[in-house]
Amino acid sequence: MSESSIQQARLVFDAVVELPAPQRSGAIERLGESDANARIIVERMLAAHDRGLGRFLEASTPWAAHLGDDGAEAAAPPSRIGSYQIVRVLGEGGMGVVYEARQERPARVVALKVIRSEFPAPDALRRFEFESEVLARLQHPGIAHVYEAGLAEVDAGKGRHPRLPFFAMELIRGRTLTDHVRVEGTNVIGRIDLLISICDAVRHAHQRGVIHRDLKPANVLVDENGRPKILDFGIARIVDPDGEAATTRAETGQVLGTPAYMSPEQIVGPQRDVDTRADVYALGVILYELLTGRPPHDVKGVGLAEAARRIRDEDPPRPGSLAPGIARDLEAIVLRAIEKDRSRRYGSAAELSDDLQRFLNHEPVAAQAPGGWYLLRKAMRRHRAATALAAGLTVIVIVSAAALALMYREQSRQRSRAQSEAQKAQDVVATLQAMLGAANPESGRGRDYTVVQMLDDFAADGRRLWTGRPDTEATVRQTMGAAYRGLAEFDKADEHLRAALDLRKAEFGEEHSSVAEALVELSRLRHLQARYDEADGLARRALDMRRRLLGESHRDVAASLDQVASNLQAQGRYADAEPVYHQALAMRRELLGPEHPDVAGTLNNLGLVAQHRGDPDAAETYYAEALRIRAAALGPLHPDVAESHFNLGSLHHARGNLTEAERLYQSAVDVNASVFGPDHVEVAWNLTGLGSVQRSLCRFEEAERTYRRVIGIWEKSSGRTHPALAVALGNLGNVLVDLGRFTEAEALNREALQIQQRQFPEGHPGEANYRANLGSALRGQGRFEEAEAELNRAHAIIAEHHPPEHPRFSTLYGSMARLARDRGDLVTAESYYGQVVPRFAKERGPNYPTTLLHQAEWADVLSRLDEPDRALALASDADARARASLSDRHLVRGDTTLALGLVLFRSGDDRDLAQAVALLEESLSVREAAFPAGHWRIGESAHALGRALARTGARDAAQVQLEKAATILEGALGPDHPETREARASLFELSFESGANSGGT
Amino acid sequence: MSGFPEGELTRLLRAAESGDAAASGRAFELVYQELRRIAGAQMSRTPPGQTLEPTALVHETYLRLMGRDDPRRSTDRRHFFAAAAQAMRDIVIESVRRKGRLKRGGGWRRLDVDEVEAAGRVAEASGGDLIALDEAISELARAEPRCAEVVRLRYWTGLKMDEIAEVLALSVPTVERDWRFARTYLFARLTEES
Repeated sequence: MSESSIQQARLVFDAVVELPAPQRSGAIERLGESDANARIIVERMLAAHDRGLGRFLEASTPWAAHLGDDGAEAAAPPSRIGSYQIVRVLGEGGMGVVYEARQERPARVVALKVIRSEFPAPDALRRFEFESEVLARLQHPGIAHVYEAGLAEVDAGKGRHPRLPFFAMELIRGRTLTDHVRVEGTNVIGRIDLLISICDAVRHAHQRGVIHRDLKPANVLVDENGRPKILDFGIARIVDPDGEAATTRAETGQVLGTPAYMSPEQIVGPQRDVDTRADVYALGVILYELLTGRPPHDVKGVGLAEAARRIRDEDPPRPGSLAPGIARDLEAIVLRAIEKDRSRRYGSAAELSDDLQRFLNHEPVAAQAPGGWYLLRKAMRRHRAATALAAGLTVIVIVSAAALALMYREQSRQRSRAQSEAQKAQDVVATLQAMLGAANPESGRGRDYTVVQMLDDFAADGRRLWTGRPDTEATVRQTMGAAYRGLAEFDKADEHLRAALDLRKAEFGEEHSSVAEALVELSRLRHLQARYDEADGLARRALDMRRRLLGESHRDVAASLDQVASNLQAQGRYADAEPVYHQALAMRRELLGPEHPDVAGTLNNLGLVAQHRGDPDAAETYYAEALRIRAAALGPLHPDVAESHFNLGSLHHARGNLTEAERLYQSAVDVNASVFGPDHVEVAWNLTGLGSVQRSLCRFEEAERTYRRVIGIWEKSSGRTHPALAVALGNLGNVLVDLGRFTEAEALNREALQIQQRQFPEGHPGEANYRANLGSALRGQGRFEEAEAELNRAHAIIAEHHPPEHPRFSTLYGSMARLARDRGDLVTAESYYGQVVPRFAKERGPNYPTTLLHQAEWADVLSRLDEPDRALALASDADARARASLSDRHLVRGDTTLALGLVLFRSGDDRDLAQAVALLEESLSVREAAFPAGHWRIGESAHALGRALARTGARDAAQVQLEKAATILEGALGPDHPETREARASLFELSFESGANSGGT
Repeated sequence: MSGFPEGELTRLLRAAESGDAAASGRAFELVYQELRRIAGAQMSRTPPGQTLEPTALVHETYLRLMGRDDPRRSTDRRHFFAAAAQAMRDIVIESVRRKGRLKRGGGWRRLDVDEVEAAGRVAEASGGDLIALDEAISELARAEPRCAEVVRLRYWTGLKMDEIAEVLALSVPTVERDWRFARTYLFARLTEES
């Protein structure tokens, strides 16, 4: 056929095809005159069109026929997948392949399901991890347990090794539900009993926020003891989170598996809307089939669109019409469960199973209640308790999801304790807030309705909701306990977490993974309460239990090891903690692969240990590796990456690489601000680091602003009660001490101490900080007795919790040295400085600003003790180092030049005097540049310079400096402060000497 | 993931668009290989007796090669699907030829009108029909290239009408008209007396 004939045919066909036959002929005749071939083809086309083309070209191409040979090649099972030895193929389906596989440690045979799809996006990977974590925690005799999920390289043939998600699951040997009842000839009561057992398992999962989405008889196996076990719980969602595949299939009309068990909303609606009632529907269909031998809608062999139409629009036959003899009550239960409108179904698997139980007990069933379901529900609403029960279930599903989110976070990010607790609290709270806010719009709660109050309200409600439902109660209490713990409401956290533990024991016995989990949660609380011995005991019990239940090598065992190590670490037992972390690390690497974020978590903790025991090089190696893994696995904008930046920042900070530290802290701030928003507690923690480096850089006013921002965030999130707020107040207090605002600093530290004492028992290690800071604020005001009492108390606390070599002692001894110096006890001061300076040099390096500062102070004290040689050696060394390592405007340059100037001045040697004056002038100019006008440190330098000038005979210049010093010091410290009095005395001396001189002439 | 850099295909498609024949060949090869690979993988997991769905195959290939989130230019999509249709066609036709199922002699094999209800299986019945169909499409392509393109996208890659409209930057009614003509034309050709 020629091209032009076809083109002609096209024009005519399009023009006439929709016309009735008689009206077509004219155009066709005319076409025939110009092109006979075209006319023939158009006539044939119109005839075919009118007759119908059937499904010509509409059906799929038969790929199977053409690709079979390639397919067979790829189907040979691999010998290993990850750490699993493949035994044989158990089955294949739309999602992937299921193998029987052998695991070595613990030795067991598992069903290994390898999912077909690879993950294109990192967030899909995170979701996979999160959800599989959730599944691993589903433990119920009626649910095939998911032991582990992960990614494993699979040999796909032809040299390709894609990393595919897999699930290692309990291998169930048994028959499918329908086979079982057919072969066993199970009677109706036996079948109902089976369904009740299945409902119970489904209820367990629903309460943990997991929906099956693909319940069908093929997914329920009955084991040799006659117990049903549900397979693939929650996996549908992981594999196809948005239901995209189902949607695509629905549109293309391809039937994957059977839609007979899918609820109308699942088959036609957006997948995100599917809730637990879709599973209730599927349970109803299974029950229907168990009773009648077929599902309610016959959709075998029809396209999905047609199946959807039938399921949505057609009423199924009454079960009694298919299987005579089915009781009306039972029929009503089945039909209730498969109502098309989900709001008319049973609200939960538990309600369905309760009604079945009532049927077996010959009690009236809810499905047959007079006036129907709606009236019954109305009646229930008249009885608050019953309503609460119904409403409670929804609440609990939400809460459990939050709880699981928390557990996930806990698992995947072993970050510093307080940090993650705070994070968790915010997560729970956000959920609860949304929930309560929606439920309670008229509550009239204002902005100051704090999270704690909200939780209290919820707890009060909860008591009504969970009565008589110990499993629910345990879950909710554990969640609430974690939330309270995050909010530092430790007494309330204690109440809930202990109750949860008792309930778990009552439900599962002493030895169960849920009990281990409850122990872990309680241990975390004890850790935060600084009751480390108890924390350690609980964590070890959980560890032992998990080892017995899960084997030596399991990710939960690794998590427990990590927890045990963190307790040791908190007690300063670094040498003990380190090998345990290494054990956890090795296990995580083996089980999860070397690039897993959990591996990075343990590396991070090892970094913390190394940093604390004074090995910054090792710490840096760990942190850097953790950062590399996290950035690769999680992408650059992830809180864990921010954590790694933060820790590396703190390392550089401690080493004195302040600009690098600032850069890293800032990057942590930026990442978390972009992830969580600028007012999130994660950001607050990062800002705390930033503030401290700004302080070290002597940018005090900037540091003050940073800390005030931190305080604002904490106040907003948890009122004025959170220990983190106390930390921020203490930090701000420190900056104010630097700025010479001692009374403000005192007030801040007292408030911090109050918060601390409200939340923690007396003698908590945190208390030492505020007492030490308070000591400095009091010393600055010349209130030496009070200062000494605070410092001694701080010392006692630190000594109780840390070994003598702990860096906290170094800082404290620095404060004690200054106190002794200021009150004139130079011998004591010297002995403290003799310890402080070498310790700082060892811990943070000899050029670290604080090391140099203390060395300068030490030299000053020695020179006043009349040890000019040692004083000169130390002062020269400090000044030379400061010149070499610090910028000209660095504040510590003001201290080292002052100290060296004073040492030279006091040596009494005239040759040194000129140099002393030059140094003191330098000190003054550094301080005038660094501090706000009127700061007492400027007065201090002016005072020293004045005295040196007086010695050189430059009396006028001396007078100017001494008067300036006296004015500044009196303004900053008050007239009775020792510094002020000394400056006045120097001024008086000058005028006396002047007078004596003039008298002598 | 696949063994070539992400974005490679887009680069090649754009080079092909500006007349680079080598890039065009390479792009086709990429799509072809990936389709084969994915088809093979899907086959191995498809229970016997069930057929593969070309739509799923092509979409999976698209995601692999073009990425999910990146909003690509529509010309890229167009070139991709054209290449995919061609690749799908080649895979099947090659297979048919290789298996020696070439039955066609001189003219068209006649399809009984009674068979029409099952005509969806025109391609399944025997390889010869596929070859005939392929040749008829080629013939159509010379006269009405757009119609042939619609058929290729519809038949070989399983795209729906609105997707074809999007890929070819046409309106849906236009695509439907093209489809109606092409489908009827091909049917008439294939059921023609020799």
